[in-house]
Amino acid sequence: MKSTIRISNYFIFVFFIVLCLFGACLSFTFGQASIPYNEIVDFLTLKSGADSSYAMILKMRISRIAVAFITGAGLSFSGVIYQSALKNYLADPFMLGISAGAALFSAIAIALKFSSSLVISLFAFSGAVVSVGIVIFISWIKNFANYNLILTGIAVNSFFSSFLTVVMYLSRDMQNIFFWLMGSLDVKYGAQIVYTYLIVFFCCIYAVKNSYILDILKLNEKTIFSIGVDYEFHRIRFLLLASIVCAVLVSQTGIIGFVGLIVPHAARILIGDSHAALLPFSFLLGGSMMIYCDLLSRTMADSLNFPIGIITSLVGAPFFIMLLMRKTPEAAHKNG
Amino acid sequence: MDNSCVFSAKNLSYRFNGAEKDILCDLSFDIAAKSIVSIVGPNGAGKSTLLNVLLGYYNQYGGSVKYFGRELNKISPVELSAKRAYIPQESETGLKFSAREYLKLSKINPSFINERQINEILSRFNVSYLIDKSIAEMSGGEARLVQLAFALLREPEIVLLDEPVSYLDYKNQKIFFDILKSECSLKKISVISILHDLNLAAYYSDKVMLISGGRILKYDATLEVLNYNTLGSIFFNSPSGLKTAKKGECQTKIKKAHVICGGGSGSAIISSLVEKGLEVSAGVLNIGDSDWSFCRENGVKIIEEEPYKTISRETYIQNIECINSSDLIVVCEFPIGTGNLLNLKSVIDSGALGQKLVWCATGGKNEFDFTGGHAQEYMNKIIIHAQKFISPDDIEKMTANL
Repeated sequence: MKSTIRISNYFIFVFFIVLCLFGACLSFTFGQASIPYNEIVDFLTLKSGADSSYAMILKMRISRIAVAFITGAGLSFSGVIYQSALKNYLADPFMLGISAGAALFSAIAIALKFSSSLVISLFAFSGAVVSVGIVIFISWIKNFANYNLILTGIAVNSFFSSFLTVVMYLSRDMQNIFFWLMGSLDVKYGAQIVYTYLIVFFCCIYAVKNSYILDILKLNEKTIFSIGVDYEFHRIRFLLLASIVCAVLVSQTGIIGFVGLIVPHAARILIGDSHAALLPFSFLLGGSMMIYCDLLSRTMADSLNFPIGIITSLVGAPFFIMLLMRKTPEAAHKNG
Repeated sequence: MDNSCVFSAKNLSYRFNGAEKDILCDLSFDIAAKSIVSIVGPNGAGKSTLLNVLLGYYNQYGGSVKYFGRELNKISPVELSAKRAYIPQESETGLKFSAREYLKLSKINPSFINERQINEILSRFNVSYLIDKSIAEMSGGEARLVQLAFALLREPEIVLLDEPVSYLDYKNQKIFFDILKSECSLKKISVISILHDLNLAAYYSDKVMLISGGRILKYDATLEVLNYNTLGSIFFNSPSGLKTAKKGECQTKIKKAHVICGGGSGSAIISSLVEKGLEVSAGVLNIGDSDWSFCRENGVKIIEEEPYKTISRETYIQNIECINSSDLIVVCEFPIGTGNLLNLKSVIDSGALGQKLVWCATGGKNEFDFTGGHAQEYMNKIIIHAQKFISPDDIEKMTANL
């Protein structure tokens, strides 16, 4: 499959890897607390003491960078799969009810006064699994076409969202729930980060290995049939895979919108539709974008930590519109 | 018999879930291996449904269809796919795959296809330059050829096509079918194709299956099916949507007119003349041509030729006789190739020039001469003796002044 990645694509990859590493370095160095240069050097050379407060902050920054990267990468990656498997460029990882399910269940957990982030995350994960499970199950037994599948997703999303409003209304913990809904990259336990990485990486490697099936899923439905590929089976398989990635991430960080929609588009514009290159590239692009967004959210205002979800939209939307305008001037004219 | 037949259907019927009527009813036919069969018929006749049944995509059919001797819906899709390729009606526009990426998908596992096979087939089609071009950026004709390459890379024994050239211009239709035909006869592949263009069906197929209302009306060697008697009854007895001309009372000195036209160029003037009350004839027209349909709809006498055939000596003489018995000869501007060049020659040979009233279209922007100058030469001779017209308005005025 190597030959499907064109030479110019290697440069794009290298460029974004460098950009990503640069962003990680910036994130590591800058933040609300300014840390003396020699402390950073000490930390990196493992000379700083365990009780050093600077070292604590630097450790937090490292975990934050790690979470930012995997969240952006995983959401973009699932976004690509959703768009290709559903043959719909407006699809994002939250389309089949993941966000609403996770939000509702975590709100229930918060309303029930569970304060441990681990418990809330477990609730969120089960919520995501329940909602996406309902959508996929209905479409599986009724043999739904993409159009009906998406509509079912929208219906389930809206059903769960309404329920969420009820829970928020009845609960006194409105603020906590609201904060969770806006998304946050503060993940407290190292183990959580580790298993998130493991699950996401495993799913991604699996998808990249089978990327030609995703390519095939983009063809005409009868052509797919004529090749002998079971469209229904593979579509559901990939949707489930992407949903697992997405559910794991949502359960850790809350709902961070927009990344899963725009990064896949940006990646397609830069590198084309072939998934052997597109999947790893969206992974990289989404991760990089999230690292920079996180950096912004931490440094924009002195004492405020802007919710990351707001930053992704604030930064992402104009950038995305710019890409679109650059890409299709003739389409813009037609519509005008 | 089983080995020589790709498909063998007995009392095949098909009905959509919840529908009240069968889309296909009681079809029985054999499709021989290594033959090129075209399915033709009006819209809604059941052509696409039949093709989908043969593809195995609609497997809840009634009756029986044997595929190389085995019941079609008992074979798994994977097994079915082994010897078969399909080209859908829609081209894969909007796909941002390069031709290379796209063609790699033609086998269920991309490692079964190597670079050499892809290069080879594209160069055989004379489109090597497409290899790194994205399908979204290709022209309709190029995208179709790449789809054909996709189908043939599957090394099929049978190719099913659903109106493969509907959106292509004449030149690209010809390129597509020339390649399809030569590849398939070389590799002994059977071709089953739905076609709208009867001329193409006549030119490229061994057998034609004419379907209407879910039934086979005729399934036979091409020229047995594509003739006036069979086609006329199917396509033109029902309201076809062609406009009709009301015959008026003839009040002019000129009683008879002969129009030389083709490809829809004559319809407007024929209807003006008919409304004026003249007795109009037209020719030579190939059966299935849009002017032919119009004339048939309006009861205009037609000198006709089999679809896609070169004008024969007999029809040429008939045309001259018709010209000689008319008072007015109208020559429209329409594409002229070697096949219908005799149309112009008959005007010159008839001796009508200078003797009779001749109207000749001129100044159209479209190139009409596909004969390397002969048509232009004849046209120049005719124009010297003719009244010229350019637009439909001119025709209105000229008929009004008759």
